Amino acid sequence: MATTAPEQATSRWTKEDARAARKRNAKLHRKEYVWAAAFLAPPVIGWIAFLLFPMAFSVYASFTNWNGLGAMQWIGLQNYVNLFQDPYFWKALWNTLFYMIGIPIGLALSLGLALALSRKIRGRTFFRTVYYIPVISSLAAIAILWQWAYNGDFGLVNQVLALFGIQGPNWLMDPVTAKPALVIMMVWKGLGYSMILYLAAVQAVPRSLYEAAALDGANAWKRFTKITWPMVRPVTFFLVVTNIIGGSMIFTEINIMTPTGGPQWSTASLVWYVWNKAFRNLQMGYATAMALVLGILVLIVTIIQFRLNRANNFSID
Amino acid sequence: MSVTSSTAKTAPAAMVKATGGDPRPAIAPGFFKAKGATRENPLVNAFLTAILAVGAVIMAAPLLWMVSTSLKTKEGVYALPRSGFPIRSCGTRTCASSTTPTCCRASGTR
Repeated sequence: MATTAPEQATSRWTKEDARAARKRNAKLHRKEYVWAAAFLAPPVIGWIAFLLFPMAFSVYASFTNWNGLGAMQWIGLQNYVNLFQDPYFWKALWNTLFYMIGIPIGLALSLGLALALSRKIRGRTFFRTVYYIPVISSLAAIAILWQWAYNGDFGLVNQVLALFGIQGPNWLMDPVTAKPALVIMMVWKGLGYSMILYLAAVQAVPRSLYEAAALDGANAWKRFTKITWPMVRPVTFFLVVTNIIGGSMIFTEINIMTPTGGPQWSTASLVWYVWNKAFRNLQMGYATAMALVLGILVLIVTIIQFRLNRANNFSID
Repeated sequence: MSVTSSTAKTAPAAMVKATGGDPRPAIAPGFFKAKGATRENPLVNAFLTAILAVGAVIMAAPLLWMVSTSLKTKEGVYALPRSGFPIRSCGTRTCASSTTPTCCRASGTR
């Protein structure tokens, strides 16, 4: 740099030179732009064809009376008006919200598991494996398995309860127990996943923080609430957001375990109702309207969560 | 960060009181216990192992039950003297007198 600078200063940089350089640059850039566009095209086209277009189309379809195949008949906001007067919609929404109580239960259990399994416990690899097995199992298979386990006569759950002298209910046939039964199953299935994430977070907490706190006389509970809990906060946030989004989309278990929406419609989730309306009753327009309302609800909840998380953010530095 | 600042605020007051106004950094209360506080208590670990074992049984039970069901005949699955494992349910008196002879034959040949 030091040797070239005086040379540049002495040589005349004319307008002609500048124009030529600009031209050269423009040519070079145009070539690069072509390549950039070529590489960008596949994902952008894919996004337009498989995401933007279907979304725009579903917005349009939600304003029509459409059976999924025939001609679409524009009916304006009628689907939405019907939707808010549909008791089944509200029931399905309530059921979907009810399933969410599994989220705090699952998170508390998995954080406890992670704390226990981050200690030097005999056979902790074995325990970690056992708790993680349901996660790697197929959801459909798990749903069928639990459908059997909840059977009133032959099911495993009632067999075990009978050992303690408890006459278990016919879980999935009783409107009172059907939803809690599904929540138990979902917690069982999701425990390992949250546990693994919490385990990683707990082990990433610097030991020095605990040592410093212990030197200052903080007991185990204080060390948990003041160090562990704030340090695993990002993981908690991630899990809450993804669990709420995933929980609002719950469908597979419902459709396999209670194909008719359960006793007195007590297990039907919103997505299950959407699917039912779209592909069983062939009311595609109504179903898309419902799906859009669900999407907007999830979006609102997620935005609120991100706002809340930003409000009490902190950094360790 | 609030963690370190809140604990640091409370500690010096106690130190000053303990050393009678000596400005030098003193030993914080709980210092001699501190080593034990970060080391794991074997009793707690044994207790946790017991809880984890119970939890592991609950986590694994449905899957083991599935395995045991897969080894049974259709009659064996619906057999009323219910037992988790096909071998045990069939050799007993309840099974011999039950109405599911297929189940008993299947395990008898084993």
